[in-house]
Parts: sequence; structure tokens; C-alpha cells
Amino acid sequence: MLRALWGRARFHESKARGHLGGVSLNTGWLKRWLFTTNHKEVGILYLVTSFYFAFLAGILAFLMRTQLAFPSETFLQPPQYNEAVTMHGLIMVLWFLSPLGIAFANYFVPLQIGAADVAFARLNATSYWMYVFSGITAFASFFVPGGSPASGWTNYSPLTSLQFSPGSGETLGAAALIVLAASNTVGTVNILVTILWHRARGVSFVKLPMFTMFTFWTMLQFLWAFPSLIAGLIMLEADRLLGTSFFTSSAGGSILWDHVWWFFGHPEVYIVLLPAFGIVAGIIATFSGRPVYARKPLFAAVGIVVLLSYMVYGHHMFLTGISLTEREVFTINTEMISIPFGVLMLSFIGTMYKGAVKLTTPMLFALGSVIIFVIGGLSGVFNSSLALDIALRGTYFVVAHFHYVMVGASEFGLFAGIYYWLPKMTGRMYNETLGKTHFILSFVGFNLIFFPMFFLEDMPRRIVTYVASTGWGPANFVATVGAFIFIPSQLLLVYNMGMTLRGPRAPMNPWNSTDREWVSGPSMPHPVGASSHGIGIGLGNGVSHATSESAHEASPLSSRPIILCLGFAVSMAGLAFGLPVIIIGLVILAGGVFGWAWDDYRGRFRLPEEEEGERWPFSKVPKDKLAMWTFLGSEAVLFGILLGSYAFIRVNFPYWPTPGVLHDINFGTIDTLIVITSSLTAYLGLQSIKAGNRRGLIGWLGATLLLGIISLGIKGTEWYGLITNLVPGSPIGLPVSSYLVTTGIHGAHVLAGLLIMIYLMKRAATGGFSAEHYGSVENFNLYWSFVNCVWLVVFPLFYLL
Amino acid sequence: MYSLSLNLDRRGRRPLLRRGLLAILAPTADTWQSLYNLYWVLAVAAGTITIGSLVFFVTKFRAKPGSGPAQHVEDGKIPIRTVLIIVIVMASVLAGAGYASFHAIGVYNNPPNGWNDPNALHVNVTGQRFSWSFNCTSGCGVPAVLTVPHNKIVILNITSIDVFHSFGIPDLRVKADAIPGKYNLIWFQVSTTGTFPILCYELCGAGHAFMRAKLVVT
Repeated sequence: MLRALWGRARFHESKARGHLGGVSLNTGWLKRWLFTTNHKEVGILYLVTSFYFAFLAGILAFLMRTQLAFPSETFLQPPQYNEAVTMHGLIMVLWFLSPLGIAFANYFVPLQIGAADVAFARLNATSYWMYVFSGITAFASFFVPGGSPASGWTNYSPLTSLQFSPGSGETLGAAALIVLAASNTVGTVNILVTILWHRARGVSFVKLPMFTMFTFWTMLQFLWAFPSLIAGLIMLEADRLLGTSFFTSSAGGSILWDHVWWFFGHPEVYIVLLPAFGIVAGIIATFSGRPVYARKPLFAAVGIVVLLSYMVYGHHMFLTGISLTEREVFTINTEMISIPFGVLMLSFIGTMYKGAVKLTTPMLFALGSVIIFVIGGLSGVFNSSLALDIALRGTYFVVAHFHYVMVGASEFGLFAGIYYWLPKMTGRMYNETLGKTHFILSFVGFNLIFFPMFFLEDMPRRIVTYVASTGWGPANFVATVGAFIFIPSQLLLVYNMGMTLRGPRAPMNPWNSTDREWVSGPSMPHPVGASSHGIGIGLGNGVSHATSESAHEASPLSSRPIILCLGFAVSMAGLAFGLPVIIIGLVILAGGVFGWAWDDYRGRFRLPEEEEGERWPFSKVPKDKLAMWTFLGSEAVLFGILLGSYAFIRVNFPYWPTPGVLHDINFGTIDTLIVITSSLTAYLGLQSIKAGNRRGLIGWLGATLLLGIISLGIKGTEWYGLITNLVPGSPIGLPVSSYLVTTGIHGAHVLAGLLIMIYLMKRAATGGFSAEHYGSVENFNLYWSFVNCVWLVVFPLFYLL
Repeated sequence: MYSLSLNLDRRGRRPLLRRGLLAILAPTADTWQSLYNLYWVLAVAAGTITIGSLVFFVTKFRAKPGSGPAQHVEDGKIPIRTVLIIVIVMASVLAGAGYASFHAIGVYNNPPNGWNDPNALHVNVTGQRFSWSFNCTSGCGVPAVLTVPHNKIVILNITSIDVFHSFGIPDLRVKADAIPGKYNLIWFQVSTTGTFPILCYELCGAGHAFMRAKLVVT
């Protein structure tokens, strides 16, 4: 399929060849896809890859439904079933649904806002390749001793500890999740900056097309939810590999994991839902021939969902023994979050009022998504109740509820997007009859699977089998019949997509949509050059600046992202396979990073300057600086979660040593003074280059580098002292665990800062910066100040309190 | 000791829709069931209105064959009144549902004579992979079987010695997580004799499906 798509992309080829220096025709298509940085191509890669993962996880679902079709079946053994149930959940949520949303975000956000490409083309490829390699790593865990993670997608501790999951599969699975979370962070920064900074003239914030608007809010969730996952996984890996005791001790343990996991996990539910609803909103408007009803309230409602999504996660913990007040607050918050969803439903349904509704395949899927969401959302209100949850927790009622929301609402919405945009992506028309058949089979199959589960409200989740006397047999049988309809019928979609490539040519704007992406020509244009400059009618107010096609040709190839990501994934997989693999990975990673920096240094990777459009409210902020602020926003959550975990353990652990016992206060004070000074020297470096003083910059950066090294040295001494005092073989106590991991991650940030400084000094030495051009130095200053600020919080918490 | 007739049908199976027809057998189950029924009524009403209006709009405003593309005209007005009505209606219904939930949790949180009731039967429940054990001063019976007298207030103190489990007696609508190092209290009182399954509701490893015990009310 990729090859066929390439055939349509032939017209970029001359450009590609120019950059690689005469690539032969036979391998050209492969290189094009491996090294592409173009947002549309990365989008297609995301789409195809996510389908591949859906296929794998779909097979797991098939196996599970087969096992549960009848009572007392022995088709799967319990360990296999637990692996299937865990990987099905993880892959479907993290490697299928959210990446499919990202695929569309990549492809259509730039088109909808009239940008030439995403803000950072290479970072886009980087996030994709991290995603690919993380998926491969996760899947590899099936084949290592001990098998894949088998503790449920929630990875509840202490089942994930070395004691209860002894194989390397759990380690590998967690490593894969870290790589995936990194991928999402990179992608998020990129798309957020794209939306904030690359809008064409006339595309003001409130006029954003529906999908872009929903994507914007989704990205904010990505940005603040995934750091929590990263923090949790780092602590988990430390427990498994270094012998710390975050999740094995009772002071941290299950409850700490619950907090960290669900702070990520609940927003993740909205992360997979909102892009789909963005698509649904746009499609309903298009096929009703009406503008979106209550657009501004809708905009606000989604924002409220995002805000509230961080305040409802406690409903997953109603029975863990958290206080009554907490449970009541989480009940109220969870109930409240259904109100903005009510506004969403009002908007979706109200859009059809007095319209001319056309029931094409995309529209059917969009309406199916809304209907299913209504059922899923209403069942969610049951789960929000702290009292009803007592019987419903851990049962198939919950399974039914979240499949209605995630499979039904989310997947149907995303499928609607596929049909809707296929003519745009391929320039061809899909088969409408096949599409409608696919919808009917999916809709019927889906409801057959999951509706009976609402009546299994006493059947525990994740059980491998049950006996006939429980009475769960009939509902399970119906569900399996549904699965045997639903899962195979998805092949119709794949077949239809494949056949579309040979289908009849699609008109430029087959749906008579007013959204901007339809007026800039299909992505894989007909060789004749269906360029459409100047057509730009986007949003119905005569917006100019339709640059997407010309810029498409311009995005060059880069081999650095794939190498960098391969190295990162291999080094993370090394956590499970041992030091040699980590070292190999780090060497590859270093190669990628070095090559990347080298390209920058030589000015090899350049994207054309874009005409300035709408940048409110960041019109005065340079793009790189905005990206740095965004990234630091996610870093702040990472350290926030780590320090929050520290506080949680501290409160629950009665034997914390008094200040001065574990850590030498004098030592720490000296270190802190050095850290503060290094912020000052870095700032003086920035002031020097602003005044055009290159030598001053190099000198001050050198001083900062030296101070950084000394500070790391002091910490190293302290780590050495702590580590040599450990009793080999026994778990590391909580105070030391939490100190080592927090300062370890902080130290890694310092180390990264040192490497950046070396690069900056090298570049400054060859005249890379001037009084006008000092963006990188300024961004480094931001980063460095942030890292030092973190230390200013760490120091009193660990040394003085 | 016999199986509760409502609990099993003639062929020894539990009917699919048994829940809604359950007789009162424990204060917790009664409270929970009324609340559940209330939520179902509200949900079915809300679902019918929403999905009904969707289907109605689709049928009513279906495009006529041969009609040209409809006009997108954005009037820019915010339908503030409609939105407010939706918000207020939803908020009031949810407030009612929430109030009912808060009332119900009061039953769960307050055993008739308090948690330290000297006349109650206090049982320590420990989850371990993959069984439940019961421990009380008067002796509660053999492993994996919890035997209690009917009409007696029973207070369970639930914990785990290895991983995260969840202790549930579905027929009585009581459940609490069994977490290493934590102790969670639940109570129940059964007005009739019978046997009720006890299940684990949190994945705890290979034997999760078989981590069952029995509550025998004599």
C-alpha cells in the first residue's frame, strides 16, 4: 500500500533525489518513507502503522472472546489470557486510538489552518519513529522469558513488581511505554506550536475548524497527562532494576501507583475521544449543510472537559479506602464533566436542525459515534457515583462502559474521518456500498458485543473463565457472536481503503465542505499539477495565503530522526536485555543526535520561511521559544509528579530520617549556591551575545559548563556515598529511593544541559550567533533556569525538611 | 443451608435480568438496588430524549434527492438560552442523582451501631494469591468459607498480604479493595439464610478467576 501511495507521490521524487544525491529509483520510495519529514507523509505513516497495531490487538480480542464464548473453556491458559487482556488494552488505547488521532492531526491540522507544514518537520518524524519503535518493543515483550506484561493495562502495583512479575517482559513493556510517552510529548509540542504559531491570516482562534480546535485541546491533555505516566514508569523501572521500593512498600505501594497512573489514565480517555469528536463535529456540519451549532459554547465546553479531566481520576479509586470527602469531591467532579458533554451533544444534534442531512458513510459513522457515545456517557454517570461503584467496580459493566466510549464513540468517529478524508488523501473515491456495509456490520456487531455486558454487572473483569452456574454464559455468548461480526468486518475498511487507490478520481471538494483542507488540492495530486493557489475560500471569508502545495514539495528528507529513535528505543529496551544493549542503543542515539546537530551546524536542513499569519496571543514570541515553554510545561508536570510522589511517601512513611542524617546539609547548600551561580553565568552569556559579544558568550557558557560539572560532581559524591552504604540484595529504603530517582532524573537534565552547552559553544566559536541571532542561547537559558529552579525545590524538600 | 430460591432458577442458573427483581435481603443490597434503578430510569429517559431527537432530526431534515448543496450561513449568534437550559437541566438532574448517591453511601459508611459495635461479628479478611482467608475470635469456619449467622451485623476488615485484590460479595452489593498495608472496612447484614459467592475483582495473576470463596449465612 505504501508503494502504491508512493506512486502517487512520484512528483516529489525529483526533490528527494536532489537531497540524497542520486538515489536509484528502486529504493527511492523506501528512502522517501523512511526519511520523510513531510507532515502529510508522516500522517499517512501514522495511519497505516496504527492500523497494523489495531490488527494485532484485534487478534488478541478475538482470542479472548473465543475463550469466553462458553463457560469453562480451556482455549487459552490463564497466563496467556492475562497477557492478551493486558496487551489488547495497552495497544488499542496507546498504539492505535491516540496515534490514529495524531495521524489526522499531522495531516489535516496544517491544511485546516493554512500552514505549509507542522512547526518542526524533523521532530514530527521523530515522534513517529519513536512511536513505531516503541510498538515493536512492546510487541517484542511477548517473546522474552516471562512473556509480555500481564497485569492489566493499568499495570497495578505491586503485581508488576519483580517479585510477582519476575520475567523481563514487564521491564520491556514499561520501557516501550516510556518511549511512547516521549514520542507523544515530542509530537504534542510540535502540533501545539503549529496551531498557535502557524495559522494563516484570517484563521483566528475562534474560527479554527472543528477538528483543529478539538486537536488543540487534546494536545494540552497529552502535554500534561503523559509526564505522569513517564514519572510512574521511571519509578517502576527503578523498582524492578535498581531495587528501590516505591511500589513495593506500603507507604507508597498500590495507592501511589493508582494516583500516578490515573492522573495520566483518565485524561487519556478524553485524549482518544476528543479528536474523534472534532471529526464528528466537522462531518455533521458538512453533511447537514449547516454551520456548527453553538460553536463558541462548544469551544468552551471542550476546554472545560480538558480542565475537569485532571480532577476526576479519583473515581477509579473509590474502593481503595480514600477518604469520604475525596470520594464525594470526585463524584461531583465526574458528574460535572458530563455537563460540557451535554453541550457537545446539543451542538452535534442541533447542527442538523433545518439542514439537508445526507447519510453518506462518513455521516453514518459520525452519527453512530454520537449514538454510542450517548449510551457510553450515560453509563459513565453510573460509575461516577461513589455508591453505585461499590458493586460495579471491576465488573463487566465497566468494560461495557469504556468500550462504548472508546471503541464506539472514539473509533467510529475516527473511521468517519477516514472515509471523509480518503478522497483528500488519495485523490480517489472509496466504494460507498462497501462503506455502508462496513458501517452496518460494525454498528450491529459492536452493540451485540458490548450491550449484553451491561447486564454482567457482577462478572469480574479479566477472568479467564467462569462456570455455567454463574449465569454469565448467554450474555458472553452473544458478545462473542458480536465479536465474530465486528472484528472481521473491519477488513472491509482495509479492503475499501486499498481499493480506493484504484478508484474513480474524486472531485476536489466532493462533500461541498467549506473547511480549508478541501480547497488546497488533494495530497497526492494528479501529476498534471492540480495546484490550487488562490482558491482559498476557507471559512467563507475570502482568506488568502493557500501555500500548502508549494511548501509540500519543499520539505526535505532527513535520516536523523529514524536513527535517533532507533537508538533511543534500543537503549530503553536494554533495560530488559542488559548493559551491552543499552550501550549499543546509546551509540546509535549519539549518532542520530550528533548528525542532527551537525545538520543544524552546517545549515543543511532548512525549511522555507513562512509568511506571517495569525499568532495571537504569541505574536511576539519566537517559535522555538514557544516550543521550549511548551516543553517545559510538560517537564514541570514530570517533576511535579515526582515531587508529589515524594510528598505522598513522606506523609505515609513514619520512619523518615531527620534532616542532616541522610544528606549533608552543608554539602547541599554549597551545591545549591553553585546551581544559582550557574543560572547567573548563563544569563550573562545571553546578555553578552545580545550585545554582540561573541567571546563573552563563550566565556560565560564555559563558566556555566564548569559550574554544572562541579554541581554534578557534588551530587555524584553524594550518590556514591549513599550507594556504598546500601545493603546488597535488600530493597532500598524509601528515603534513599526517592532521593536517588528524583535527583537522578534532575541530574540527567543537567547532563543534557551540559551537552547542549558544548554544542552552543562550538557554534558560537564559528560565528553561529550574533546580536540578532541568539534564539538557541535564549532557549537554553530557559531550560537551564528551569532545571535549576527544580533544584531549588528539591533542595529544601530533601535536605532541610 | 440451602440456595436462595431467588438467587438461582430451577436449573440452577442465575437468570440474566435477576438483578432488578431481587428481593430485599440486606440493607446494603436494598440501598444499592434502589439507587441503581433510579439511575437506570434517568439514563433511559436521557438516552431516549437525546438519541430520539437525533433520529428525529435525521429523518425530518433528510436531504431531498436532487436538491443542491445546502447553504452554510453562520449568523454568529450564540444560542445562549438553549445552552443554559441544557446546562441547568443537566445540573439539576445530576444534583439529584448525586444527592441520592451521597444518601446511599451513608448506609455503607454507617453500620447500625457503629464500626466498633461489640455485638457485631468482626472478621479479618486477608487476600492472598489466590484465596481468601477469614479470621475471627469466635471462629468463622474453614478456609475459603465465611460462615455468619443471619440477621447478625458483620464487619469485615479487609487487607492483602501480597498484591492488589478486591473483595466483593456481588449479591450483597458490598466490595472493598484488598491492598497490602491498608485496611478497609465494610459491613453487611443478611436477613435470610443462604450461600453467596465471594469473588476477587482485581486482576491479581494467573489464578485471578479462581480466587473465589463462599459466604454461608446460617
